[in-house]
Amino acid sequence: MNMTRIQQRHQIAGGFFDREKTAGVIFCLPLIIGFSFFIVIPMLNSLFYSFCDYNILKPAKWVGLENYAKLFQDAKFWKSLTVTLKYALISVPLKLVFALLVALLLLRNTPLTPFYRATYYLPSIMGASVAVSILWKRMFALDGLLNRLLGIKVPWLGQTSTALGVLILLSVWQFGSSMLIFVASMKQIPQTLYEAAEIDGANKPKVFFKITLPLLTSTIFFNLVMQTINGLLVFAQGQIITVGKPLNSTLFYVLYMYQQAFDFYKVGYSAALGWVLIAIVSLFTAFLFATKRFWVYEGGY
Amino acid sequence: MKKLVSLFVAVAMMLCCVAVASAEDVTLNVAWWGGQGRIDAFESALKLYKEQTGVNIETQTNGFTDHVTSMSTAGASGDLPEMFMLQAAYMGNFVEGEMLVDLYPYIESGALDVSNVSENVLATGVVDGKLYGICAGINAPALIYNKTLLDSNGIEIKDNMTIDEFCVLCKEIYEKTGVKTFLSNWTTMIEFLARGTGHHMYENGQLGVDSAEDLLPYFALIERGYNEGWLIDYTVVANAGSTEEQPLVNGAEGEYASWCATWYSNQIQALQAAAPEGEELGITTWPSDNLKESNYLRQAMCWCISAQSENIDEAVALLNWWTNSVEAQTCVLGEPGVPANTEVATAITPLLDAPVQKAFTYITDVVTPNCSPANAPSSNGFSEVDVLISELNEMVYSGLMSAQDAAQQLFDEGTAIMAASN
Repeated sequence: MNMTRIQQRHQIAGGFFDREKTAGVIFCLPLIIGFSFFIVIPMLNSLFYSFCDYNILKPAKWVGLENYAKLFQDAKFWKSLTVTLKYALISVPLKLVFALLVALLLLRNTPLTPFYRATYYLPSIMGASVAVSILWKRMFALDGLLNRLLGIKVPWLGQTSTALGVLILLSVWQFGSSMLIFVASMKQIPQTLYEAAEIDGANKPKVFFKITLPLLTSTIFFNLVMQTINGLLVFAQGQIITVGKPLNSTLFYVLYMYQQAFDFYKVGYSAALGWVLIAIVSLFTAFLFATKRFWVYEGGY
Repeated sequence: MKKLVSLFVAVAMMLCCVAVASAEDVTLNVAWWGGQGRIDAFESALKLYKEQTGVNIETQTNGFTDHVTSMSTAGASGDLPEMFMLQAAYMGNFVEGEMLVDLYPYIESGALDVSNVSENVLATGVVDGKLYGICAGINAPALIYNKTLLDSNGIEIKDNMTIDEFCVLCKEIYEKTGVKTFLSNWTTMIEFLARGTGHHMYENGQLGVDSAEDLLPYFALIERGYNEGWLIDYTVVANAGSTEEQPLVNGAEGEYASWCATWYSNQIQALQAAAPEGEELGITTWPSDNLKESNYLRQAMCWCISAQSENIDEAVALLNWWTNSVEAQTCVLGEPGVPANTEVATAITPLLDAPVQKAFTYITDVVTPNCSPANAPSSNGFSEVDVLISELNEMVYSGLMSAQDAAQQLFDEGTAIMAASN
């Protein structure tokens, strides 16, 4: 009788205090806490605020769908969306092609290869940092490095025709992380396939298009999804280099969102913009996943 | 008896300890925006205060554009620094959120001495009959120009130019030297010229003008500059933000340079510091057809005390010291403008650098006799109108829109924005 009671107790307590489970829970806690406090709760907060008239300094007031209704009549919403889509649709493919080309070059095994890989990866580590943006701004300034090298005076960042291009170039320049993923996944393609192709007399382009590229499609897909999401969320470069100028030609979506929240104190409206962006990003991702079965090879080697 | 005495002594000692501990325990957070020059000046003053009083001081500094954002988010989470800088224009939201201390009671109690601060200057910190800030430096709109360039071409600048005189001058400078004109600070300049037509913008929750005509003078000036060719090409200055990037001082030549900057008087120091060696800057008034109405003395910034603080009395004591002590202002040396306390201002004038001297003389001799009271703190919505002004300004600057259309659009949309925000 006594024994069973102890066993029962043990069983009940075991749900919580079982050693292995405890260890598991403790190891997960940092992520669980971080994820809930810094992502889930703020997201739910912002979802709530998107239905409110809220200016940070005064209590929020419930207004229902008003923010969302206003949004679709806001010319600058459409403008910023167009600019962002243009940016993402041009910069992402360019960046991936560039990353793939450099990855091909760096696949060769020479003593200097690790050095080159590290060098080309550096810009990505610096990422969308303030320092790189300031560097970029100086380089493309009227008296900047580029104009001096070319001996011309072109206001790259001041004219609508080139400003967005400069920002796209910055994004393409930061191809390192995609490149590393390409290199890693190319190295996994079995040598036997290439040897067989060589014996069959296939030339280099043919080998690339018939073996390398098809076997890389799942990596390309991964990079494409990640970079598209990043591209749609572009912010820091715009904020630091051009602040949306000239004539709103670089007014990125998130930049406009920031402006609404922190310049105009329209936090509710800004939260609504944020949720619409989440919907847009999800749509893009869903679209990419839907096309997956037409071009991505996921079988083994 | 002995016991009683020892008990008394013990209690007294404990009380002393508590008193000393609490004096030592006070930490005041002080926040402001500004460049390295200001950081050095302010920190040396605050260090002096710490040495004199034993109060701990922590500082927090930002660039101008981030400062208000940082303060409002701090305010939302109840973390405002005890004493922080604001510009009157940005006070509205903080006042509505009841985050600022009304300073009048402290003046009555004698904790804050403003006997040497003029009524006009004090009034710049008043919202709805309450005093929320003490001016930390007085400045005024100022046209800062390349004196060396103009002197060497025999061109003389006189104070109090009308818009037409200014345009003729710009044209002459362009023809003689090839250097163009950059008019920055468009949002303030529109206000400045609207004041000349007898209108104060953004007061009482309204745009504050009667018709598009009142907004036209600025856009017309830009349009004329564009048509006559002396206005700097917009693409050259689209991204000129920081002091060093201003075409007045960035070392550019010919059509890529500007002979002037439409800034504020206290900024001559930073601009002079950024200017190439051998380029001396001068200072004069912004152009206006009705300068007395247009021009004003304003607080470059003011110190506010947070209502969220537990050490309001100590913060007021620091503010009082800052405002009235010659020692404090000897560290600051007019960096943020002329000190609010006129006696302190007189006392430190002989110690100032040449550019700051120029700014002080400009304030006392040129602006003070010929100006009118500054606008009241702006109502909500003005920052949104500011962005609209920037956009319209870009269009007119680039020759894509007529001055008339820009003024009309600003009037229509600006009125709507202000109505929706108040």
